[in-house]
Amino acid sequence: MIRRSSKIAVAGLVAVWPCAGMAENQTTELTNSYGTPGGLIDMPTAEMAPVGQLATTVDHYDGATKTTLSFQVTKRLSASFRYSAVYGLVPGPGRPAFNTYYDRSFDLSFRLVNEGQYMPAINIGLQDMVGTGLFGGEYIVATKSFGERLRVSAGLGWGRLGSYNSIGSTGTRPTSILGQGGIPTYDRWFRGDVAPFAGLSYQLSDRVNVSLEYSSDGYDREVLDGITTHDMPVNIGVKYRVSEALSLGAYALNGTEFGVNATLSLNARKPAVNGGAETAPVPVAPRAPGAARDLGWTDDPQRPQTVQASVTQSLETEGLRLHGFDLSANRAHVMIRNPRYDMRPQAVGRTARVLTRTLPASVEVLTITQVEKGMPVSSTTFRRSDLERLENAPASEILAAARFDDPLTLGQRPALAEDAFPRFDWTIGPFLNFSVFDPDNPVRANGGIRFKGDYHIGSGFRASGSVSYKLFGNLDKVTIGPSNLPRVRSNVARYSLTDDPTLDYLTLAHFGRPAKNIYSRFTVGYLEKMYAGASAEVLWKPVNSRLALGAEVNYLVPRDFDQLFDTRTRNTGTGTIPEFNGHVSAYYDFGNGFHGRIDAGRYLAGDWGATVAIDREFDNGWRVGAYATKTDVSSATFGEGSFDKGIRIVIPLSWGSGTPTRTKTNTVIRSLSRDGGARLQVNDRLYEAIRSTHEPEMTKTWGKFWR
Amino acid sequence: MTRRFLSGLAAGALVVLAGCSGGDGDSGAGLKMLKGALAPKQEAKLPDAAQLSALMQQSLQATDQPIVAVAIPKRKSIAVMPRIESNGAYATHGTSDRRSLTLKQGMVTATRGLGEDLMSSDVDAALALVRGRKPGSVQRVQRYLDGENQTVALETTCRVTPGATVRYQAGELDRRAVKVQESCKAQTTQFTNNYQVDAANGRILQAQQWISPLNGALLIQQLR
Repeated sequence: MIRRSSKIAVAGLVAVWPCAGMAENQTTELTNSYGTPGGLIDMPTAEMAPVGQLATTVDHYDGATKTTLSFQVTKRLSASFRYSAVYGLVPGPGRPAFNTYYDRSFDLSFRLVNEGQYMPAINIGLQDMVGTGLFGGEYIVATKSFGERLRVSAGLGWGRLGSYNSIGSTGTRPTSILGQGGIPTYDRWFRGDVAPFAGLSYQLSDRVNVSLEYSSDGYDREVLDGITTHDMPVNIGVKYRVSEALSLGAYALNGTEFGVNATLSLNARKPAVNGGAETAPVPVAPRAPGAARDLGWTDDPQRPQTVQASVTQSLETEGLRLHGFDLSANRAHVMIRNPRYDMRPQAVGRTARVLTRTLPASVEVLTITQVEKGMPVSSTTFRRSDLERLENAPASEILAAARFDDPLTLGQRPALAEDAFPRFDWTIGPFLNFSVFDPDNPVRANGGIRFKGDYHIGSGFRASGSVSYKLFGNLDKVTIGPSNLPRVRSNVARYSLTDDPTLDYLTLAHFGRPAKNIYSRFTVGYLEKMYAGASAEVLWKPVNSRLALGAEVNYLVPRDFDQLFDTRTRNTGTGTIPEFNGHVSAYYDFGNGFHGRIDAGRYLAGDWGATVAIDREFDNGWRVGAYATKTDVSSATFGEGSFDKGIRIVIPLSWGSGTPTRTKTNTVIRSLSRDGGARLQVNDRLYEAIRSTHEPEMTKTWGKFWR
Repeated sequence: MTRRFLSGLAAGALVVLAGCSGGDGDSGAGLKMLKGALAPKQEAKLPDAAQLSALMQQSLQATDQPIVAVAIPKRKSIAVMPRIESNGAYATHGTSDRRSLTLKQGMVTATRGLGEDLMSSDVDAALALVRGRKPGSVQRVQRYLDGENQTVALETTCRVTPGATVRYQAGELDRRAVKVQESCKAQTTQFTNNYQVDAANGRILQAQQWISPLNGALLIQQLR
């Protein structure tokens, strides 16, 4: 009978995911030679990528190689970071000589008007809007679709995009660089010559796209320096889509050059498997009617222990650890450690189901407290009858029936499980440390082997250490530029010179809950690669709050370059490293996919100022953000880049693997290690340690509760 | 699939360096994932008729619980699943390798551990028509987790049509059954479910139900 299964007609099945059908307006997964969303070659269009798209494009023609990371922040905003190598550029007067000019640039494109039946989509954009502005240009562009396959774009360009056959001008465009570079070139935007450009792209098939454009970029600087010649303003290109992730392209440029590119795209909203591919949870075990009235078990003094043993074992099967346990006639309170589930509702949901299967029937109220760094950080309480009743209902219903509390408000903590403390966690494995997109080298790295251990002593105390052994690498070649400040970070290369094992950190830390809504950390020892000392932090964060406030103060002594047990003098030749630094911080989850953070205080070099960070956060753990630090150090004193800024990308491994894991990759692209606006890198700062267990964050992915 | 492979690989390559661990650490997640991404996709081998029938007999003897045979043609997999729990009108059937599905009076309302799982469903109206072998139009709601783990509901309008009477033979059952078709439509998708319903008592003996793009349709046959 069942053999027929494979032959059964699957008539009417449509392989389109029904819920992802929300039409986005005038989008494309193609990128141009600048790596920004768009179907043309050099010219921008009003197209946007799908939200959450992260595309890396490597583009090459004889004169330059451009590597661009483009991210679709919202439906209307696209941001790109580019690292380019231009070959044969002649240095300007007073600039140092170079063979290859490495340049970093940053673009924004904003959708002003969405496409309508007759109305084209209209974008306004800034290209290479920060710093030296070699690729600097601004534009307003409109794109209209005609049928499914043809898209036509036309626009006006300034700067580089207004350099060929201009039709007029708006003021004069300054050429001097603001500060020490690294500052938005607002004085140039939409100034100077204006020229029109246009183009069309045509989708030949699912895989092949061809394009033709009239370019308003005269390649003036490249022609002047003899890198290329400009014969005609027409470019043609073809794109081939190898897979959903990979596209290849080729184009003819200016009638004289031939170029190629490759694009690798990921989308934060498209994980390997929607909802995850991990194995099933155990089902809720409903109690027999009337069973809840049976209190006979309370007369058996052995019963709580046998129950605890079976809870421990069932949680182990789910990858969870029982940390504390308290059982009375109709209430149970369990504390769990969760080494596996990045989506915390899943850890709580699986625990709740285990409890329905293991606790005596009279126990009606179940409290599950999550423990992080030895601290009870968040409690969720359910009625067992609600779990029984709502197992097959939408997850929002059990959320409505659940209560979140600060564990400190729930009275006495449950008795600790026997193996809660002391406890030793360790990992041994290879490591790679990168320094990417430096002004004088695209990639540098150190690799080797690292051992890390955490000894959980109990009562909130923990001893931690990490030892690395470098096997290869060239991070010691990172240039140490001039500095006008105490060298608090800029001599980073000297820390990479040693070929002996290094002590990355060796600390004794205490994590505590001094009062309701308050968390504390005190760390003493060798705090990080460059500094030893003591670090104290306190954080205020109610369990249901999207706002958190924190403060941190550090006492530091610089460590010796060999990163063993010695320290060195605070005097660095360019100044004295101060003993104390610290910050006050505010964190706020805007709730619409954006998270903001401000840190204000005294930085390592004794400079005072603030750091502003904005992250675009996806509920599955993806984060793409940018930060900037401005202190009372002047641009001139700070040096190249004028002030510290960077981009960071967090990708949860569960997104790529389809199974729960708390492992994440953290990529930071930042300015050079300079001395202004630098902070201590102590481990286990409080906010990130507790935030994901709190109500606002748990609510976002509550659907995982029943998964 | 290539996109999935590549994205998996890209994320994997960033943390290839997982190594091993002890204590609470969830060991080697990165390595496991990389292995998964690099391993050649194995064509699942379907058991032949004799093997399958032996498996069903064995399973029927091993338990006196209700038991179903489940086929996922698109995933090329077949399993025999005894009931592991029941909660009111819902029965959860599972395999030893922790894949499960939940049936409400024979109709699938949820799956777990298949990937792109059906999280929950509202099927009462459809159940009434299908079990009653009556024609009519009903609303059906199926809930999923999207790429960000947010719950999304697929709401469809379904046309239920009874059809011919057939003989249903599976496991311990040999019954006269009525074929019932349920054709569902939403703005962006459409699918058809097929049932065989006991002519005497309205029990759903066989259900062929669409679950999700990854899984396609599940075929569930009652064996007892």
